[in-house]
Amino acid sequence: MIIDYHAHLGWNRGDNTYETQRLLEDMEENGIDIRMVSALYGYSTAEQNEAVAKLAQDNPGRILACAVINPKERDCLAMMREAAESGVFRAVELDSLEHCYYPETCPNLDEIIDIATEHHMPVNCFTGWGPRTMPAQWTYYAKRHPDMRMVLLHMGTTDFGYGCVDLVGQYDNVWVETSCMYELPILRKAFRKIDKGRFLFGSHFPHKFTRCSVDAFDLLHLPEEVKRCLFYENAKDLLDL
Amino acid sequence: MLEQVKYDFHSHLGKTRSGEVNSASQMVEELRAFGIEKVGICSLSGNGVRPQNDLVYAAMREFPGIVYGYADIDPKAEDAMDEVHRTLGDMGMSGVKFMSWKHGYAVENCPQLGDVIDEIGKYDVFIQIHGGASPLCTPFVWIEHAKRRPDMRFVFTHICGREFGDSCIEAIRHMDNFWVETSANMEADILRKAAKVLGSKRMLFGSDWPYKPTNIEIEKLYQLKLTQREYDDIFYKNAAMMWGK
Repeated sequence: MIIDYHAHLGWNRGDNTYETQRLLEDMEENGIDIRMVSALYGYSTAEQNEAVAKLAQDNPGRILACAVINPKERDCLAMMREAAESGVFRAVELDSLEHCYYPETCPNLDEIIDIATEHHMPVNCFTGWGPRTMPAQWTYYAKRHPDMRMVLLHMGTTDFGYGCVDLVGQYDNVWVETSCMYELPILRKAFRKIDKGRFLFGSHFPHKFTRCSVDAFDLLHLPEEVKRCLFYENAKDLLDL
Repeated sequence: MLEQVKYDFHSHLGKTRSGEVNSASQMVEELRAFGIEKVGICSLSGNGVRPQNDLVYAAMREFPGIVYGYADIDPKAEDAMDEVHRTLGDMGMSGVKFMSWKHGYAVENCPQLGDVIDEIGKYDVFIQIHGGASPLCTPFVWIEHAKRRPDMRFVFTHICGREFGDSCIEAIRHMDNFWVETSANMEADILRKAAKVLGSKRMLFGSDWPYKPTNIEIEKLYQLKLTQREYDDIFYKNAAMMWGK
C-alpha cells in the first residue's frame, strides 16, 4: 500500500488541458494506491484548483485534492474559505517560490492557516530551492499556530536538508514530505533523528519519475515498521483516511 | 540492467562532512553490485586539496584500471600550479575537478583561473565542473573559458542541477567541447531535454557515490527509454573516451 502525499497535475498550455489520464496511468504503473494532487500550472489558481477538484470527484478514494492558494492574490482568503468549506480539498499548499514571496513577511498567511486549522487541513509548504524556501521561514507559523499541522514539502531538499532535520525535532506539529530528497547522508540523519511518525512519502510526479521516488529508500534498508509509516500509515493518520 | 556495461564518471571518496567513513574497496564493491565496472573519483570533503588528492591517488593504485582519479584544484591556492603538475604529471590523474562552491570563489572574478586551465590543457585531460546548487556554480561563467579553448574538453556535473539544468543545456547546445554528467539531477524534463538536445554522445552517467542512491541514478536513465546504442554511449563509451581508455 502506498499513499503518495505530493504530486502535481500536469498542464498543457497549448490547449489548456490537464494531464489527468497520464497521472492515473502513472499510479497504476507504479503501485500508488492513493495520491494527493495539486496543480501549480494553469492560467489561474482558481482554474487549477477546479481541475484538481474534478479529478478528485471523478476518482473517489484514489485522488485527494490539495488546494493551492497564492496569498498575494486579492481574493485569496475567500478562495481559501471556499476550498475549505467545499469538503473536496483535504489540504492546502503554499508555494513561496512559484508565487514569489518571503514567507515570514507575506500578508494573509496567518489567516489562511487559521482557516486550514479550523477545517482540519494540513498546510503543505514548499521548501528547498532558494532564499524564499527555507524551512525556518515557514516554522515561524508552526510556532504561532500550535494547532496547525504543517508539512515541509521536500524536506528542504539538499540545499537546506541537514538543517531541516534539526528543525523538525523542535516542533510537535511539523511533518516532512520526502520527494526531491535523494542525499543519503541527509536521509540517514533524518531517519535517525526524526520520529518515524513524521515522514510522508511523496513522488513529486510528473517532475520526477515515480519509480525513482519510491526506490529512493531501498539502500537505506529501513525497518518494515518505518517503511509502513513512511509509505502509508502517517498519511492515513494525518488525513484521517 | 546488470548486463549493461557501466562506467561511473562521477563519484567521491573520503569521509563525508556528516562523518560517514568510506573506503575505496567499499566503493568498488558497492558499485559493482550495480554492474558498474569502473569509476572516476575526486575527493572534496577532507581538510585540504593535497590530502584529498593523495587519497584519490591511493585508490588509483589500489584499483588500477578500475578507479580513475580526478584532481581537486583550487585556483586561488598559492600552490595551484604545483598541484596541477603533481596530480596530472606525477600521479597520472585522468582529469581535474573544479568546485567553485566549496572553494569559495566567483569564477568570473578569479583572475588566476585562466592560467590554471591553460596549464591543465597541456596534459590533454578533461575538466569536470560542479554545476548547480549555488550561485557560484552557474553554467554561464564557465562557458566563456570553454569558448576560448575549443580543443579542451569540459563536463558539467549534475547537468547543473535542477536550478540551472535548462540554462545549461541551452547554453552548451552548440558547443561540442562541453558534455554533461547526469547524477543528482532527477528532473524528468531536464533529463529528457538533455537526451533530445545534446544527444547521447554528450551525456555521461555518474552516480555521485556515496551521496546518492545508485539504484535510482541508473533507473532514471532507463525511464528515458533510449536505444541500446544511446545507453552504451551514456553508460560507458563516453567515459572511456574521456579517460582515454
